Amino acid sequence: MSAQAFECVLARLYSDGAAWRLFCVAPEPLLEEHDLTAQEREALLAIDRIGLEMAVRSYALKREKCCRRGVHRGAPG
Amino acid sequence: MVCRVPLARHSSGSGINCLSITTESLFVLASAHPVDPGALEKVARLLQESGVRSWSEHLSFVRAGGHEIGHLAMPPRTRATIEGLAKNMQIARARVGSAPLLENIATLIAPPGAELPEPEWVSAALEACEGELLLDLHNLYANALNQGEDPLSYLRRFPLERVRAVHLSGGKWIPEPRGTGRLRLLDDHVHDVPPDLYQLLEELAVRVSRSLRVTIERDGEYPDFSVLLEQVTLARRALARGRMRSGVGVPRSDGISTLGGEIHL
Repeated sequence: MSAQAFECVLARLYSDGAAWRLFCVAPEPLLEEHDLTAQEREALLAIDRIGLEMAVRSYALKREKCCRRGVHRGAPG
Repeated sequence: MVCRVPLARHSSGSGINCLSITTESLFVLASAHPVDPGALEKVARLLQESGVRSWSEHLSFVRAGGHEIGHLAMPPRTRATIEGLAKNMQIARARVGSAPLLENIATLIAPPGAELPEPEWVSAALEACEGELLLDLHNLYANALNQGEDPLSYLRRFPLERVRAVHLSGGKWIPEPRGTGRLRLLDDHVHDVPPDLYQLLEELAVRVSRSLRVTIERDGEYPDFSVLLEQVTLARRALARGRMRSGVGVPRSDGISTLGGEIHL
């Protein structure tokens, strides 16, 4: 279950701007909402924050483009 | 078209690709979460009704816990994800009747919690699920450069014996935020194939003796068609050079089989 929770945190950070902003200033409360191991918590606290910001912005743009095109989901490989 | 060219379903939700069959649903295989069997049933029907012979999916996740990322994200490179992938691939084989080629993806973020570097994780993942690789050379190239690694050395660490198909595409350098002064390479499919990729393709052709299906991907900002054809020519030459270096000799060429620039050697 913990591995699934870890994925959930990542998906939340990548897709929920408010959660990402909260994480940037105070990550602990957000992490406490998920059933993570100590190791997973450490990994998230040490996340590549620059890369996270770039990824969050990139995913937001993708979602916006998909909405404009009326595509439910889209993802070139 | 099905009768004239070998079709391959490549999971893609957007853009124009003569060989892609666009589907609304992207399911997740590389995950600790179980795959959606309903989505697999749709793929099974699609393959059966269209006569498409092969299909592919990404080594990525796009949602978890009700959170839709809206794009491909690198899954945690852990053993737990590999176990999940192996189970999901078993389900996919049973439901669809064949296994998808699995494609490496690009990422702007170094995924947290990684237990293995990308090449070794991909190797372990494919071994666990007895999968075959759709090697996206631009994704590999971008990840290598963004981590400060040499792309050729990075390529050699991938499980090249499992490669069945190759994607080529382009991207652009974008600045990191917060004034770091550094850049990261974004894989965007709207730029030309960079020259370095032909070198990677040549190296791949040296090391992989089997036939490779090479597709040049382009999702927008289309140049003159002659520019795309030139990239097909450069790809074919790179493959030929690699084959010559490997001692296999000059490859058979079936020519350009699609408008998307897929070539068979």
